[in-house]
Amino acid sequence: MGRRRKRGAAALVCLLLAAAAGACSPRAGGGKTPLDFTLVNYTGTSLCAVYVSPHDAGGWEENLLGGRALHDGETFEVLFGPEGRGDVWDVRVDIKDGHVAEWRGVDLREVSKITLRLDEGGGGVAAEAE
Amino acid sequence: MVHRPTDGGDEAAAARAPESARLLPRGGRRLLAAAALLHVALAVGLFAAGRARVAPSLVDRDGIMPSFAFDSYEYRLGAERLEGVLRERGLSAWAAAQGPAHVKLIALQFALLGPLFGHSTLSAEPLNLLCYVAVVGLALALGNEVGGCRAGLLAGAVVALWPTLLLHTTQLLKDPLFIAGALALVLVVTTWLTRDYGWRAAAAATALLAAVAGLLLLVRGKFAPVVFALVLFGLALLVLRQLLERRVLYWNTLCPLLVLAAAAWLNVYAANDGRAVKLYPPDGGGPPKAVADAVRLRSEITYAGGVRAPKAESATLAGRLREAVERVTTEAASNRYRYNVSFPESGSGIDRDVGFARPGDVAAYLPRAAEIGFWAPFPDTWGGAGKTVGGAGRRLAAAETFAIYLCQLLALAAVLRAPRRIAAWLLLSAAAFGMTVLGLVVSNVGTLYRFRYTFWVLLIVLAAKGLAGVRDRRGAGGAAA
Repeated sequence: MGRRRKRGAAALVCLLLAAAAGACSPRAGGGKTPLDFTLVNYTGTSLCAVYVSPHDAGGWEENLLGGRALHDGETFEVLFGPEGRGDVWDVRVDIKDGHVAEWRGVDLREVSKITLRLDEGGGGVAAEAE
Repeated sequence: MVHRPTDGGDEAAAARAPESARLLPRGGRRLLAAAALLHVALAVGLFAAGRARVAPSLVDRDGIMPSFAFDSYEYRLGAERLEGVLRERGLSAWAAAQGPAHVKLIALQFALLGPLFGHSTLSAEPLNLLCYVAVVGLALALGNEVGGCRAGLLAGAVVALWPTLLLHTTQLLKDPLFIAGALALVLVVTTWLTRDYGWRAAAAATALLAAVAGLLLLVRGKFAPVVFALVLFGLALLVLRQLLERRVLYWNTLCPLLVLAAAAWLNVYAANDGRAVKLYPPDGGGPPKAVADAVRLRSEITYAGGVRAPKAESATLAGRLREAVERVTTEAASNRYRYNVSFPESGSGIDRDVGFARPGDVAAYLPRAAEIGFWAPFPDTWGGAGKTVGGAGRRLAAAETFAIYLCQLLALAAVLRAPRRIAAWLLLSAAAFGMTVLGLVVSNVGTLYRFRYTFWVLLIVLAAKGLAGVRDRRGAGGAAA
């Protein structure tokens, strides 16, 4: 009985090792477009909305977060389909306390990551684009 | 589950740890009861002193001590809001409302005890007491686990009477809940190294670990990499233990593997969740750009020079590792920056001008970070008066810091001497890692002091083991003479 249990445990250990290795293995890069970028929230607070719309559009279009919140320290990938048009876009984030920060005319083809931080003195939001 | 002194335990060591499966040493329950009484007495005393306006600048009328627990006010505001939700819309609305876990629990206590004690620290005493007793109990259990009965009792008593920790656990803070959770996590990992699991013990340990990790992530979400690192390091030490003892402990190994597999699965799941695809055509929703509908913050954008980060996700392991290092650097830099700008008027700032732009900056600052994490506040600041805690506060911090220096020396004896050195190494490594990380990102000694309690408890446990070992050797020497 004891030996059987040990064998069972050993099999389980092997299975888990394989599962962990599989889950940790690199995922295949999934057809990214040149406009895609990652938004990193290091503002110390949560964002309740993220908008990205073409610079010439009259409205901000859909909230990309849906009903979720982007908490401090979290990242969010904004992906574009093959229909993505134009290089210059506007980006806006809504902070949970009702404040808004927006950046107009961002060339997303030149940007892969935007990191949001508190401004010096905490009175604004600074975006660092890479 | 069998408890045995590992890595070269001798007969004296075996005699020192006869209480095989017991987590608490004999006499531990009495110590816990005494500690609980002390805590309740202190909470009542603070409340009474506040209401009597004995020292209003030190203790306000609700028992809050603003000099070191100023964030109690922010949490109280949140708890009052959630208490309102609970009263007006019921338990399910309270459960669904946005808010930190500990603030929700404080709100619950306000609803129950508020009519008697108002929104004071005494109304929050049930949770605070539970956390305090858990912290003392876990120190007892950890001491018993790595150093035997005497070390456990000594560690528990020292932690129970540690002045600033005792005061912190009477306030409306999230720290007590976090410290209790973190110590429980370390205890579970320690038992991988000190006990031989059967299937029941493996299942219980895994369930407990999952529950504790969940609690920690609920209280401080950013703790996830530390939980992962601790489990990984515990697994490495478990492998070392099996090599030294030349036997395979399947059930012990199963526990960390289950946790790592779950973490890996969650990682994949979470990575897929944090993304959205832009709609074509747009849904027409969202506010118009021309209307000034909200308070706009000053918004600037800067473009980093040099090589652009690659657009495609790295498909190789090396690429993913490089990205992970960059992510860690950005996070450390961001946290440090936030501490630098959040407390500009603070008198206990340290290395405020230091920031990190690349991984090399973090690596270069690590020795200084360790120095700060282990030894700040430094002796040259012990004499002055603190801007918020005053002269008495500084002297108390100086006395505690000096005591921790002594604990560090005794901790060295604990890890160098058998038995259970592997478990002792786990505790020392966790303390060293935690304190160095804090030294890296926290540029305010007051905040650092508060965040360090978890790691100080680990050092106190090790010191108790070291001291118990010294006394045993002296006793053995005297008996031989």
